[in-house]
Amino acid sequence: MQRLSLEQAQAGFVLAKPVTDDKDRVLVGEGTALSDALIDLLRRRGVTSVTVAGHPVQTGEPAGSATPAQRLAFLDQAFARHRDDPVMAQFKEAFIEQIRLKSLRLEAEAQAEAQLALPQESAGNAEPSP
Amino acid sequence: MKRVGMVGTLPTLPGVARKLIAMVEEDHVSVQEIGRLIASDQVISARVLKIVNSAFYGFPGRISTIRHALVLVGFNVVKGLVLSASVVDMMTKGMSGLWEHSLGVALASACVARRINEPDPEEAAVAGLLHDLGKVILSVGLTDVFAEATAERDKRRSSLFEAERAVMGGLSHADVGAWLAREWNLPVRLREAIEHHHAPSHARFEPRLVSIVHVGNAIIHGLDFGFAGDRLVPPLEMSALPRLGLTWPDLPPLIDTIERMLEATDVSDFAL
Repeated sequence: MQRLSLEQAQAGFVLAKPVTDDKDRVLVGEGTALSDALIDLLRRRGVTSVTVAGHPVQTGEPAGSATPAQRLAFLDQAFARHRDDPVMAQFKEAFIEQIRLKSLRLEAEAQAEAQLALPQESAGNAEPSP
Repeated sequence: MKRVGMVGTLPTLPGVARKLIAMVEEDHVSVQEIGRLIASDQVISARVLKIVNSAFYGFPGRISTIRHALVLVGFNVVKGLVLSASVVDMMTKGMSGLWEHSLGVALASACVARRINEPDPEEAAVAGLLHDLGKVILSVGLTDVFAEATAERDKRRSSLFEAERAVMGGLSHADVGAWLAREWNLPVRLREAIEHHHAPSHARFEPRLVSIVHVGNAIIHGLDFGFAGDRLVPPLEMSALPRLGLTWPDLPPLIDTIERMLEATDVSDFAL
């Protein structure tokens, strides 16, 4: 179950809780699948949030969980409106460079962990029994 | 701005935060007096203690009283936390994702401030937390205007900020937030950060603090953390980085530090 702002709701999401107006009257029942028309109707009735089944929107997800490819795709879209702006082009480059930095960092961490794991195992084996 | 006057339930700042703001304007206030004032509100005290004990502040030891917190983390931090704790309820009622966005910008602003050795990174955190106060007012109190703005955003495929200006005669959440900051008598520094976080060069008193929040906000948008009404990176003012003494090569490691801080922070720690 996930509470979403109406902006985040999309056609196809299924309501996990009924939608009520400010006087607690039920506008749409639980289990209803949202459509664009329904979302528009709710917006006009002043509804600002809905609770839907599952967890269809990735907000408040643990930071850093997106893959590099997902991050790059997001940046293309998030900077699309600033294609001709040199400042924003450099800003976008900084994010791309950070994605690279992060990959290197994760790689180094994984290697260090692998190296640590080996001697620990042999030390465990060599431990004399009491 | 007339319509703002029609907000049915104007959010009020809890008494403790209000008194605290008034109190710090006076010169002779003791730690005891401040501690007593904060401790008089159990909910706020509990929140402040929970946050100072969270990973965000890196205090492994348990800070058990407000007096203890005042001594250990300092008055400025506690003052900021009281203000933050006072707006949590309101902020979490705003559109979903906005609270996470605000926390992210608080954290990013503090990171930027530390990176450039600002004397008071905690103030940057509070300014970052409050920068989108106006969006809370719009999404909770002015739902019809907000619905108009989001419809306009979808129609133009623009940022929410641009759509707001289109439907509110040139005004935006930044102006709405600044208006509330004035109603609440928030310090001018915070009000400027709220009012000019999209254009720090317009700040008259604190362009540096405003630039910190401006950069922090842009970074959080670029990291796609939380949701502030659109998934676009807002324009970065050309003068913002030079004003902070930052250059382009400084950014990737700074962004990485911020992302790691976000990974280490449990958002639910802050919403008691």
